[in-house]
Parts: sequence; C-alpha cells; structure tokens
Amino acid sequence: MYAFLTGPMLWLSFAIFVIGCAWRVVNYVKGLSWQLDRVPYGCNKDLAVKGALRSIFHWLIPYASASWRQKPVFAAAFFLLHIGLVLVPIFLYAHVMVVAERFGVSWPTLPDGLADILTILAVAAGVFILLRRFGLSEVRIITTPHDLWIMAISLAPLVTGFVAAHQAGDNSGWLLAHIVTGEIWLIAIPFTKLSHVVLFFCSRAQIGVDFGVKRGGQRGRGIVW
Amino acid sequence: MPEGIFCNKKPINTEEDLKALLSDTRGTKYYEEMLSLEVDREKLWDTIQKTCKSRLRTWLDVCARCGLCADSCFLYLVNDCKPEQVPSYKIQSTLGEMVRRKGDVDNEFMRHAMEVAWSRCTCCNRCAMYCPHGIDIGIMMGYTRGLLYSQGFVPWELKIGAGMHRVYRAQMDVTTEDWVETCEWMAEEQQDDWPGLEIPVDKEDADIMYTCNAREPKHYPEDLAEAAILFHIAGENWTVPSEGWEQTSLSMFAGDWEACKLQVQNVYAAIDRLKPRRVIGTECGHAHRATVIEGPYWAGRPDGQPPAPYIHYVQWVAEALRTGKLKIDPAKRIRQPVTYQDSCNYIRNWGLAETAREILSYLVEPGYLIEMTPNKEHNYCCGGGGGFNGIGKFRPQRNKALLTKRDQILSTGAKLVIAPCHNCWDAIRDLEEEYHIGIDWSFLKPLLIKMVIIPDHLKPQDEEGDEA
Amino acid sequence: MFEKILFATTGSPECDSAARVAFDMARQYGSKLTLFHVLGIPGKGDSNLVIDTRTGEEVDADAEYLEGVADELKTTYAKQLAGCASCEIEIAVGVPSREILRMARSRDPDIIVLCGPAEAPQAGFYKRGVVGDNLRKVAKAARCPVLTVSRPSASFWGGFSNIVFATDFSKASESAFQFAVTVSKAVDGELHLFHCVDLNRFQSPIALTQDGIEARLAEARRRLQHEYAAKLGDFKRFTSEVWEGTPYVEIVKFARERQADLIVLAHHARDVDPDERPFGSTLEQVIVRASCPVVSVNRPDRLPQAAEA
Repeated sequence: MYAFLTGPMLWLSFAIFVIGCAWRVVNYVKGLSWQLDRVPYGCNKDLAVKGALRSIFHWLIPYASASWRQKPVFAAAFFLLHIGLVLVPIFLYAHVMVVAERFGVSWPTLPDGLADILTILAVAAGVFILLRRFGLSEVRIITTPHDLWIMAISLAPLVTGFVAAHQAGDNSGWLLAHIVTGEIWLIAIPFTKLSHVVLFFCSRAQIGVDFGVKRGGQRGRGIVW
Repeated sequence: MPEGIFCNKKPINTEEDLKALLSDTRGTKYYEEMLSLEVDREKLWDTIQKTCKSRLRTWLDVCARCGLCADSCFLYLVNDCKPEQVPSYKIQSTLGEMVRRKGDVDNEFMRHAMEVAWSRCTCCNRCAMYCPHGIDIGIMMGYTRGLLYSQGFVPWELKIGAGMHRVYRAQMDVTTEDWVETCEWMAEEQQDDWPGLEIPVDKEDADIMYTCNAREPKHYPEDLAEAAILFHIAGENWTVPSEGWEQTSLSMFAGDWEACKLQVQNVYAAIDRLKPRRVIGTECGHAHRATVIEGPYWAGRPDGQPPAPYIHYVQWVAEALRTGKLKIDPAKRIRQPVTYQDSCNYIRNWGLAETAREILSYLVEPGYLIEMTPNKEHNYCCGGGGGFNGIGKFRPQRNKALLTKRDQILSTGAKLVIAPCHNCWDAIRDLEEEYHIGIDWSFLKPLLIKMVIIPDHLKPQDEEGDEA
Repeated sequence: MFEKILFATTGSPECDSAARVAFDMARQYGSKLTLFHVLGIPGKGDSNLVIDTRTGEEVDADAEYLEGVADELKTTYAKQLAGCASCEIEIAVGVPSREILRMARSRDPDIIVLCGPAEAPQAGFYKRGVVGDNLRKVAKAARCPVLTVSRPSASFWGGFSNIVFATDFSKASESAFQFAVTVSKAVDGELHLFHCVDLNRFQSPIALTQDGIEARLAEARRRLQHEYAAKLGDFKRFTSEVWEGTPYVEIVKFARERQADLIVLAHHARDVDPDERPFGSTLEQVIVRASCPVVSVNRPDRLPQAAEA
C-alpha cells in the first residue's frame, strides 16, 4: 500500500496535476476571442505584457493593490495561507530529501522551525478564512459547499503532515493520511476551483491586457492600484 | 402563450413599432405582457454555448467567493450592505445560474435577472479593480443584459432606446434633415457674437470630425453652438458629418449587440467617407465607450482601433489648453470650491484621469479644487450609469444610488461639480432636484467659453454701445 | 403691420396680460396668431416623461395628454380665440426659450409676444431656469421684435400717444429705432428719444464730478440729435432727452413722466452673465417695472413696413 501510494500513485497524481493544469491553461487561451471579449489580443504586445505582469505582481505582493490595503486582515490571512501551502511543500527538508534520494537533485530547504511556523500559520489562516465565510454576511451569501471542500482538501495535507512530522513513536498512520490527502489535493487541483493555481495567472494576465492595452494603457494608465 | 404585442423577443426596427411602443405610457402594458413572456430555453443555451467562452466561464468558475467585491460596489454600500447586493452574488445568481442550468430557466427567473442586471448594476467596472482574480462583474452583467435582451426581458425605455438607434441611428428621433438644419440654425444664431462662425457639414479631409449626442440637437442645441465656438476660437479645421454624427448607444445599455454594431458602423462609415485626420466626441462617457472603446470590436476590427484616431472631448480640451489654442484669462479662473466627477467610461475605462487634472490646472485657481474621495479610477458611479437614469421602473433604486454621489460631493464642500459626461451631468442634476444640496454643475464647454480669451480678430466689429 | 404673431404662453393666469395684448394686436391688424405652449422639459430616458414647466412634476406627455393640454388652452382662451380670425395652437416639448426660437424659425413671425417675469426666480433647476432665461434668450436670438408684457397695467396695445425709444447707441439700437419710428408713424403717436448716461459704469472720481457728468450728458444729447433725430425726416412729433443714473430706473421714470404706451429698446447684443448682473439686464428690469408693454428689437431683419395700421 505504502509502496503503491508513494510510487505509481504519486506519479499519477503529479501527472494529473501537471497535465491537468496545462490543459486548463491551453483551454483557457484557446477560448479567448478578441471579438467576444472585445480585447485586442496580439496587438500592442509591449503594453500587453506590461499590463499582464503588473496585474499579476500587484496581487502577488502583499498590500500592493488598493483592494489588499482595504482588507488588511483578510490579506494577511490570504498570504499566510498561500505562503504555507506553496513554500512548505516545495522547501520542506523531508520532501526535498525524498526527491534527492529518488532523483539525485536537491535544492535549499527551510529550517524545520520555520517550516513548522509557516504550517501552523497557514492552517490558522485557513481556519480563519473558513470562519470568515460564516461570520461575514457578504461572504456567507456566496459561499458554497465547494469552497468549504477545497479548503478542507488543502488544509488536510498540512495538518496531517505536521502531525506526522511531530508524532512521537509510530507515525505511519498520519504519514499515510498525509500522502493520501496530498495526492487527493494534487488530483483535485485541475478539476476544482483549486485550478486557480494556474487560472489566477491566466485571469489576471487577461484583465491586465484588457486594461493595459484597451482601457487606459495607451494613455499611460491601465489599472491603477 | 404567444409573444406580446409590446413585449416580445423582436427588436424594434420600424418607426411604426417605435411609436407604438412609445404610446404605451410608462410601459404599463409592456410589463404586464412580460409576466407571460416565455423563455426560449434552447436559444438561450445555444447563445451561451456560442458566446460564453474562456474569459467569462473562467470568471464564473474561479470566483473564490471571497467577498472582496462587496466593498468595491457602490450599490452594495449605499443599500446598507445588503448581501444580495454583493457583486459576486448578483452575477452568480443570474448568469451563473443560467450557465449552471444550461439555460433551463423560467419567466420569473428572467424577470428577476432583469431587475438585477438593470437596477443592481450600472456596469461601472469598479469591482474589476478590487477582485483578486480580476473578475469584471460589470462586463459580465453587460453580457447578461445581452442574453436578457435577446429573450425580450429588457426595461421598456431601453427597448425603445435600442429601437431609436435601429431606426434613426441616434438615441432620439433626429433625422439627417433635422440635424443639418440645426447646424445651420446654430451657426446663424451665433453670428452676432461670433461673426464668421461656421458649422461645416460633410467637409472632406478636415483635421477634426465632431460627433455628438442626439439630445444636443433635439433639446439643447446650445451645446453644439458651444462646441462650434470653441473650435472657432481654437482655429480648428473641423466638420460634422450629415450622417453618422450621433455617437451614443442606448443599444449598449440595452444589450442589443446587433444595434450596437449598426450604430457604430454608421459612425465609422462617416469617418471613411470624410477622411478626417481624427475624430472628436462630445462630452459623453458612454458614447465614447460604445463608439471608441468597444465599438471597433462590434465593427469587426481586431486591433480595437476605429478607422481614424478617435478621442474624447476632454483630450481635445487638454491639448487645446496645453498648446495655447485656447487661452484662459487668469482673472476668470474658478475661484469657488469646485470638484470633479471622474466618470467610469472615460476615466476608469480609458485612462483620462490625469488629462482631466491637466485641464483643471488651467481652469481652477490653485486651492479651490477639492478632490472627491475616492477619486480618479477609484471613483464611484454617478448613480445613473448604464441606463439607470432613464428607467422609470427602477427610479427608486436609482434615487437611492444617487446618495453615494451626493455624500461624496457634500464631503468635498464644493459648490460646483465639473462633469464632462451627459449621464453624470444628468445624475447630478437629478440628485440636486431630489436632495437639494445647493450645488451647481457644468460641462466643460460653458465654463471654457466664459473663461477663454477671445482673439481680437474674432471679436465682432462693433458697435461702441455703452452698456444699456 | 404685423401679419404673423407668435404668442408663447404657459396657459396660466400669469400670461393673461400678455394674452390680452397678443389677441388685441391680432384683432387690430388681422394677423395670423400662433398660440404656442411649451409643455415641459424632457425628463430622463426615452419615454414621454416631461417635467411640467409650471408644476415641476413629471407627467407622461403621450398623445392623449397633448390633446388634453390643447383642449385646456382652447378653454382658457376661448373668448379671445372666438374673436380671432386666424389662429393655430401649437404644443412642444423642450426647453421653452429654445422651442420658442425653433417655432419662430419655422413660422417666421413679425413679432413674438411673451409673458414677462413677474417675480423673482424660484428655486429648483427647472423653474429657476425657465422664466428669466426665456426672455433673455429669446430677446437675444429672435430675428423679429419681441414684445413682453408683465403687468396687468401693461396689457394694452391700443391707440398710442406716446412711444419711448431708449437707446444705448449700439448697432442693435438702430433697428429698435426703426421699429419705434414705424410704429409712431403708423399710430400717429409721439416719439420720445431717450438715453441714460449710466453712472454705475464710471469708476474714477474725476468722471463723476458734476462737470464730468454734464459733459457726458451734452455728448449724449449731441449723439441723439445726430444719430436719431436727424433721421426722422419730416416726422416732427418727437422729443429728445438725456438723463443720468441707473438706466432701467431712469427709463421707467421717463416713461412714466411721458405717460408712455410703449417702450422700445434693444436687448444688448452681448450675452449677459447672470453672475455679473444679478438683477438682469436693463431690458429685463424695464419689463418687470414698466407700466406699459416693452418691445425689444435686435436686428433689422423683420421690421414692420410702414403700412397702414
């Protein structure tokens, strides 16, 4: 079981994740239409690229957009959640060790203490965001079961991984849970709203091109943050 | 049940039909018939499949349901933060549902969607700036309006408005003859004060072709005279086309894309005919949006450019002041607290915020300009955009929406609001009528005419009369 | 003398005096009278909603409503209409001054009769703009003389004895002069030429010395003689006066002294900025205060020929 989950199943999960996300991106780009969207794709490439990049970066950097600044607490939770979800899996010593053993490549890792803190903060942020969904009327009305599920799917690997890493004694149960939830997470990404992993960049780039070329970029504006 | 006499899926294409629909006072029978208008589910789903592609689908699907859009929406804020006014909710409960149910929706749903699309959103696009994914609910709402229009679920006044464009290629029943007559009339009327003033019609290869809003010749031809006077003072080589002179688009508010295309093609045809070096529009935001920003795509132009460079009036004014074609008498600059209305269509959606500030630096004595909060690209809708001003059925909602702008103006303490946009101008007039806050408001043209230095060679040869 | 008359009315009692004069003239000269009513200013959006100019309320101006308004007008002016040989009723929607000018352009009348502003401008965008602006804009742009009647005592177009012509020596005043002369000759009345030296315009103390004033008075007298009196040919029934003061006050006083039945002057061709002249132009002030009809003439286009009255 363990061998299967850490062998073919892991490969499959990653494959689904990578190919699924690529498929999402390709599909997205294919479905863009200058006529339906009323955006001059392919024209004014410099402004388009500039617009797309500005659009992405102003949202990837904490408080770099007016909207983030207007919601400072939510922004903090958002970034803590995502930093944990992205940085910890990639730079965790335990994960890098596995990759090094299997493929001989490695990269810098996070100190364990830092990884722990990031994980805890990420989970706390995730819980805060979940609670926020019920606490704020403007979020409650638009929250769907899907949103709750994907938060659960995303937090599960963090929680199980954290426990597995700190479990004294036999942690094989938690480890298994961690691997299973991790794989569920990976597989779920292309098929759920978790696809925002790539679609965030697509969508932001698109609106960046829209404002950067059509709606103000040619007059030195575009979206003003 | 077959379609109604007044309320049906057929666009208005003849003068007869237009008059017939107009005769239904306030659309009473029209809305009655709408209660039994059937939804053509097949056509609806078919249209969605063909036109709701990557961008819109992704926006609908990837919405993180985070609720950041709520505080960005002035209608949410002014309506006491009712959750039903959250932009994401508004679009998910209308377009989102239509897509999820594959078009299988009923009459009641469509009527509700109509109310949301035309009274809970003015398509101001402010939410696009606040959404982490960059989702533009204003655009989606516009798309939804298109679906509703094609099914016949559109407010009465906008069905008429779209009909006007289909029949007259203008938002009002002003024919070519009426238009040319008005140009002649205005030029004549101004001869005393502006000898030699002309409003040239159909001059080819001019530097400027000027287009305007049908309301101007119909009810306020002084606006046209003012435009002529300013071009005259600036020494511009300009013209107006006899056809294709009207650049507004109630059809855009109505979601009648076919009419939008016909309307815009009419203006572009005039550009092709007269070959001006560039085209300048009047002080109207949605006209600019329809004809210059969105228009090229309706007309099949992938680069998004009209046949000749086409600018908003504000751009010409800034240029004229900058280059000295219009010189302001410093003694006549504005010396009362004044504020500026940053309109959605040419500021947020075209980038003229700083151009407007440049103009104000010439017109307003330093220290008297008080900016609204928020302002520029972050400004709130005037309250009347997207056709809101004109829809009788939603007047109460519109009047509520005006409170946002009222409070913004009151906070500035300004006594004058400069609003170079017909819709905003109307909204501010209405908010003064409704709430009596004691302000004045103006387009740029009348202000410029009062302040500009008249070159000697243009002054009437006088008459030394003492003032009687 | 006046073949076509355009009478613009709100149909309310405020216009009774003007109506009396308009129908009176039509009767005397056998004119074709166009009774013109501007229903309201267009409201928002595309519908028939208009803001009624009288009440400031929104009404639906559909065909039925327009007919109702026409009927109302017929009733209001029933007596006068009965005595009028050739009369049509026209109704329009729009800004009143603009629609009056549009109707004038279409009908090409020899004179426009307006109800004058009897009271101070009222509140509200619609009401405030309408009355004062009407007069100002129509008087300025009309191609024919504009007769304004504001007070009941001013509602008589009858056997004139005394016509006051007040001038500011502007080009437009020449046309007004022509009109005054024609009318004087036609009604066999006496013409009183008048100019007021505007003391409010002089800033320097030197100009305001008595010598300074009297020099100006003398100059004005000379001009009156040279530019007007000299052109009267063999028409001898005229007087000529120059006073100093605030023009509208002096004109009204002079008219009162001369027991004028008609005052003729030019609306100053330059646009008067409401901010600069809070009390309105001389024309407006004279209209509100005079006890006889006031005619403003701006152009030579449509002056009455000296036909038999």
